[in-house]
Amino acid sequence: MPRYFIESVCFFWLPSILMYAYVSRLMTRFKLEAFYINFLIWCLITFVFEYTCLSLDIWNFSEKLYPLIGINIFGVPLEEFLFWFGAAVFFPLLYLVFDEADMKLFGRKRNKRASVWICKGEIRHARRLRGLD
Amino acid sequence: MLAAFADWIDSVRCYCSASRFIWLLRPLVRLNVRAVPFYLRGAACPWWLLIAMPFIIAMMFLVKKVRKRFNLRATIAMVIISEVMLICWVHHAVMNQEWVYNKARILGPLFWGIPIEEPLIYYWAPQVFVVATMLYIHSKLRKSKRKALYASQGN
Repeated sequence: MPRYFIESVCFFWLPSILMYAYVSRLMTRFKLEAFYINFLIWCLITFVFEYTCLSLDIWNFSEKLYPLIGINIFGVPLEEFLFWFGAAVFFPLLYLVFDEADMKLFGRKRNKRASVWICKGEIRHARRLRGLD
Repeated sequence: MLAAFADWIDSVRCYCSASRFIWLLRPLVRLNVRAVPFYLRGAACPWWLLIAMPFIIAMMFLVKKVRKRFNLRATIAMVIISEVMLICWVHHAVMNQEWVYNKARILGPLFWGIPIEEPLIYYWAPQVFVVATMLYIHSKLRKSKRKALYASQGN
């Protein structure tokens, strides 16, 4: 039984799908864009990090008790990338879920700073129209 | 012809069936007194701790940048979930030898069979870093869009 693969899917990817289904409806376009860009950046970072760690021989894999699924990318099992990429999806989604829950349960204001920025922008725009700036 | 093809498939499968690092590792795996599997190879140097340092410095810089956008309660909840989940999972994975640590590359003390660096650094810092990156990208996207909108209105 490829336990590492099953654990990566069950702990990271399945909850991520559920959380994404919940959070994506509530997210703005920019938040979604930021989420995707962040995911791509962290895929790249973790890809490099994984090979760095293996070349430094910090940890390794043993199939003594449970086998791996057998697919590898340049010598590294696919499960390892499922773990790292899964973490890059799972933790931001977990934060976003808690953020939404916080807004609902504790009534934290949404985009407080953004509204301040808009007000400043509008005031500046109005001043410019009146020829004050 | 078919037999040759089957041989070739077998050889490919043999190559792909496991990480090319595994055959090097297998003879080295031992159990310590607490029955935690480990292996020992190379000169002693705590790379697992040292490799985290640039990330921690970058994380502190980024968190400082986006500190006003951080929801502290959500972050604390995320970190608690992360610590509990990963400690349980990694303990289980280490004991089942899904992955094995090189004793020469970790600090030495173990927490429930896991190198101490992991719960102290790796189960909260990368998570906070990932969220900080997302918030930073979000703020940059929003600012650029609003600036473009404002410029178009101004002109």
